[in-house]
Amino acid sequence: MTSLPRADTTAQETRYPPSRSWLIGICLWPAFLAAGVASLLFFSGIDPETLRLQTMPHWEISRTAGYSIGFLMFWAVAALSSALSILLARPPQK
Amino acid sequence: MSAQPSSDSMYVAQEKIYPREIKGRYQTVRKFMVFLLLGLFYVTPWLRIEGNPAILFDLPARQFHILWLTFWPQDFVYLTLLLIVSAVALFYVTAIAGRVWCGYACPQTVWTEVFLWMEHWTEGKRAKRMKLDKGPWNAEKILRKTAKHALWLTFALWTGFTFVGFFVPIDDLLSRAMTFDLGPWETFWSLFYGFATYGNAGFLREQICLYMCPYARFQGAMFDRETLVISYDEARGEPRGGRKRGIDPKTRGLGDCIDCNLCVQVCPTGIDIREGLQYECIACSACIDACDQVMDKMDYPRGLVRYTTENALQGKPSRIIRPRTILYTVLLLALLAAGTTGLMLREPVRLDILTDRNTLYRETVEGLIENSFTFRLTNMSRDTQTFVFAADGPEGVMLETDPAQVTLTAGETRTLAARIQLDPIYARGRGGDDVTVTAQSIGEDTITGSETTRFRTPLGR
Repeated sequence: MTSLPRADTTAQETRYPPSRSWLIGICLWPAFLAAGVASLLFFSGIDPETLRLQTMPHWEISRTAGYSIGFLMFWAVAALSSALSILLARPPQK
Repeated sequence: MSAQPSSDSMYVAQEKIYPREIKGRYQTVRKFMVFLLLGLFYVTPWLRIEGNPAILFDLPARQFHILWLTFWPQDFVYLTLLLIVSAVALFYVTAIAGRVWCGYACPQTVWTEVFLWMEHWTEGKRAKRMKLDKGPWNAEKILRKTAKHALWLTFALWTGFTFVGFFVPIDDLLSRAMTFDLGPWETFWSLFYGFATYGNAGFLREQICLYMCPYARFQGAMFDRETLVISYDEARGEPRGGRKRGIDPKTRGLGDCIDCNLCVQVCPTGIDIREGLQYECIACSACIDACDQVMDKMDYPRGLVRYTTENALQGKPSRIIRPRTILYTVLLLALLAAGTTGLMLREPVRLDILTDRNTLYRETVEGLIENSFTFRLTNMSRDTQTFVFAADGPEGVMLETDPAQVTLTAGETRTLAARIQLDPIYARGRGGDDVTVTAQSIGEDTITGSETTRFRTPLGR
């Protein structure tokens, strides 16, 4: 009987972590996706212009700046969460 | 030996992959897809309909213009629906045809393909590229590398610029870019997207698929034994080995695989398809094209590496119609129907009626019952409209707004005072009647919106 051959990659053979840039990647990239979703949800309901008028009316910034700052803030927070997850997922080192 | 080895020692050195270029049926399809998808990306921001950009995600104005439709923040549900439809469509395609998304349509693959072309133009074929990288930094290497990066960077910057062109009208953006008059955020996002393209398509390439793509990890859950996969026919190919043309492999105890390694050299993720189904495989079919070429040269039938299913390899029939695909079809059709219906019924005018909370009703000197309201009207069409109002309800209901007509530009919202009067002899309900108010654009029959409110009348008559 022929069966579809499968690659024998086991967890032992896979080095962790594959590279340092991989760590940076898996920290920033999921955070980027999450920040995108968060911005979409947040800004579809809340106009940054209204938010500015209600909080810092003297700070003259455009909507574009509001969206951008919002996105970058979400990204930073999500990246922080990713970074903590990576740290905790690491086997403790002696 | 140092007591504390540098943490770098535990990392595996990433080996650079030099995919060999290949021509063939599937590569022609992939090339076509590159032109189609990137063509759409680079051309779309320039398209116009009646003078307006055909597609513009106008974030500063909080409006999305898509062809003839304009979407507002309150239309968020359609965006959600679109994302769900896209996800279900991806599951559907994956269940039937495996990772065709990865091989033919994923932006990562498509842009990488273009960057590989540019690498090929400047640094030459695979062997030449490998030699160039190994060789010393002589004039030729510097020239070729500079040319490659100059091409890559130009293309990447244009990509970033085009990306911002989806959010800001691109002709305006271009004229301002020419005079170095871009806003700080326009500059930031152009460069951000540009460098992301440069890094992802130029350097990271298959590593994005291997290490960063969530889809690559969960697509296995959508696979079954009837999903199309790219596979090497082990029964036919093994035992592999070199031989001269025209020799019957059976006389040498060999299978059809001549072990030329071409399928490995063309693979953009650097795997050997003969080792079986691997999560690294992005189903680009380069190995199929490579192997078919060799089979043609050897006068063997094509398809030693081919699109097949797990069932087919075991000689069982493969069905396209099966519970999983039926479920996805039903789900997809239902979602599409819901979305289309919603879009068709969407009103181009939004009217909110706020009742006066201070007084329930008032009696005028003529003996009519009067309620006061505040109307909030938003013009969600693309042009300036002048609206008049009408009320419908119990017989003889009268509506008066102040002002009587209101002209709103596209996207404008205005509030206005309104009074509704009714002769109490026509009051039907106990304590109130439903009144429907309609805002109608003068001269545009289709631009209308209505809202029903409660008209309060005295109790106990």
